[in-house]
Amino acid sequence: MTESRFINFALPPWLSAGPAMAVLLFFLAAPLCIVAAYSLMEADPHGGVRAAFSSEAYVRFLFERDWDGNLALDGSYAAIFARSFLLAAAATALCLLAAFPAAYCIAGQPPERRGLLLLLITIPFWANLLVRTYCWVLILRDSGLANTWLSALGVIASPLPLMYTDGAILAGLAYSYLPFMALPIYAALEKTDWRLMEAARDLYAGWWQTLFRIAVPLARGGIAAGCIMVFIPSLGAFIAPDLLGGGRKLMIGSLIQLQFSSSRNWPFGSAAAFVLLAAVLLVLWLWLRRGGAQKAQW
Amino acid sequence: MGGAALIEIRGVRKSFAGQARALDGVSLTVRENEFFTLLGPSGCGKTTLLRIVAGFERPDSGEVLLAGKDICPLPPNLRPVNTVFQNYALFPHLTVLENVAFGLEMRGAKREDAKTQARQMLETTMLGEFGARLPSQLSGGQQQRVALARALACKPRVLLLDEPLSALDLKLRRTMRAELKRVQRETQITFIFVTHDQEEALAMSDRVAVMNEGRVRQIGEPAEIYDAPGDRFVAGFIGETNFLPGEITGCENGFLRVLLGGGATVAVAAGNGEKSGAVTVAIRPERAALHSPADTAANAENIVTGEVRDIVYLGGTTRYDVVLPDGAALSVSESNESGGGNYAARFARGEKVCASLPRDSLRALER
Ligand SMILES: Nc1ncnc2c1ncn2[C@@H]1O[C@H](COP(=O)(O)OP(=O)(O)OP(=O)(O)O)[C@@H](O)[C@H]1O
Ligand SMILES: [Mg+2]
Repeated sequence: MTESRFINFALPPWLSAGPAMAVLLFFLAAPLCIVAAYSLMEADPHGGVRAAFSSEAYVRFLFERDWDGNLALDGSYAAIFARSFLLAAAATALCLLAAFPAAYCIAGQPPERRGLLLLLITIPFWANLLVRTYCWVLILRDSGLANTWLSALGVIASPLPLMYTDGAILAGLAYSYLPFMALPIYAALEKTDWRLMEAARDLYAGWWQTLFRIAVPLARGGIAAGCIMVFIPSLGAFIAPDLLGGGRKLMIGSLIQLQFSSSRNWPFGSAAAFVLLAAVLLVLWLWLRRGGAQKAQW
Repeated sequence: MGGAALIEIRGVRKSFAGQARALDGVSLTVRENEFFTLLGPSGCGKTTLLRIVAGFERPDSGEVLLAGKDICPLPPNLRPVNTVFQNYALFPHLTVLENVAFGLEMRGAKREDAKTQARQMLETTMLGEFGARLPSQLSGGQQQRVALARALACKPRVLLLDEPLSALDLKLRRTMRAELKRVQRETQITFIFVTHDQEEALAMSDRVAVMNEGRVRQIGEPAEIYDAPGDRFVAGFIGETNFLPGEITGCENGFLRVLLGGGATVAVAAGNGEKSGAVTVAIRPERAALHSPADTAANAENIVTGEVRDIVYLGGTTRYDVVLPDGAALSVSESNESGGGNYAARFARGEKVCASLPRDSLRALER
């Protein structure tokens, strides 16, 4: 046993990291390369691609080709991108608002109770995402729970149009990814010395002041992780936009999914996926740079 | 120190889930401007009591009065009480100045005013130059001082200190002891100080409450606690004490007659009500004196005889461990008068000696 370890140490780093490299190669690099290749080929009208180089997919992204083959600037796909970013950012903010106080409360409980509360937060995760999102349809539609209750209470006379709105998409997204926000924040808070919260209370800080002045800055790492973990899947989501947004106003996720299914334009789907990836990396990079600058100030 | 009562703790009980009582009916009164110490072994409930006064725990029963008002329903931020935490609990993301200004700001002072006051506080605690640093950039002693400055900045009615010196090394601890005492005198703030170090308690306190297993065993001034321990636990916990088993045989002019196991009868100052039966006679090692049997007058009172079992040289003092005829151990410590390298123990190992036990220094305690 010790011998093989010794040998392991003696291996060059690229070899001893072999298994990890293999995983990355097969599950990350290879699919990405395939998608990249597809995005630069011609579409086969029956689905799939034809092995011929074409930059058409990327051109289509910003331009429209009219009957004569002239290019005209077309902002509709860019608008879908912008909408998706806004919705994802809003969903992230909503998650943060809901998850932070919850995580803070759980971390402040005695240890025995924390496990149970965490379990309760993750339970919705055990059900299929499609099913969970469909539940929101039952809540939001004209004859759904929300409208029934509101009219029963006499707040509204006729059903509110809740379904097929950006609000509905937002609710669905925030609900789907709430645990992704709550868990990293909880992990960060659980690690911090709880006596700091007590010290703040001792120094005349109220509950909310303690939250904002002490807990939030100390859980910064967890907040950043949670935001990334909610923002990115929200950006690529297509179930909530389809079911709750009615598929009329697309999000990028739905757009990409459409290209591979009914539209049968694989190159364009691949190109959209690549542009999305680039945009996400750019946002992440900007964010990390800002975070790094803040760390240095500490 | 006859100040008015500031904090009254009445019959406070507290237990934690699945555990024996942490506090089992604690009652005590802390007076205005007093340096009051809670002393006791680990796990006796000192921290729990302090946390109840600070508002982090609620007692199961009993009440805590501050200036006559029950403060138990108040959350910590509404009590004019501040705490110096054992590990300081300084906010790691705030500078020293911001740490000290925190409480002032939370109480509604404008940010600039709070900073100005905090800066003054730092000056008086000799931390002026560290204001812009983060707590992690300070030494343990400096952090300790910041914690003190932070708690004092709000001028609380009562300052609670939970073993604030335990993380410091011995030398620094001595310095901080004097400094804490000075700060307490100058600010005239009531201190409730928790420690399990009896030397600290004796050196700093106006009054000490000795606790054990969730109860207060004795409250008194340091000399009272040391010289007139109320029970065997207090006598054993504070300083060193010899316990000699005996039997009360009578009582005359305010002194009890106690027959020790070895056959000698001694007169003992009457303690807290022990009038008959089996007792333990307690005496401090430095209060007993050794003589050679030849020097001892035949009719001298309160003499026991024994044999020197061991001699321990301790620098300032020498400790003789004597065995009495019934096997009881008696330690006697004598101060070493002469220096100059010509030290010689007065007795040899195995030598027969007489020990005189002054009757005013003896206490008869429940076994
Ligand atoms: N939060 C808690 N949950 C369960 N038991 C606790 C809790 N806090 C304290 N206890 C128990 O209550 C008793 C008293 O604890 P406390 O911390 O008051 O002791 P202490 O006198 O401060 O000891 P030390 O000198 O070691 O700090 C201990 O038996 C401890 O295990
Ligand atoms: Mg303690």
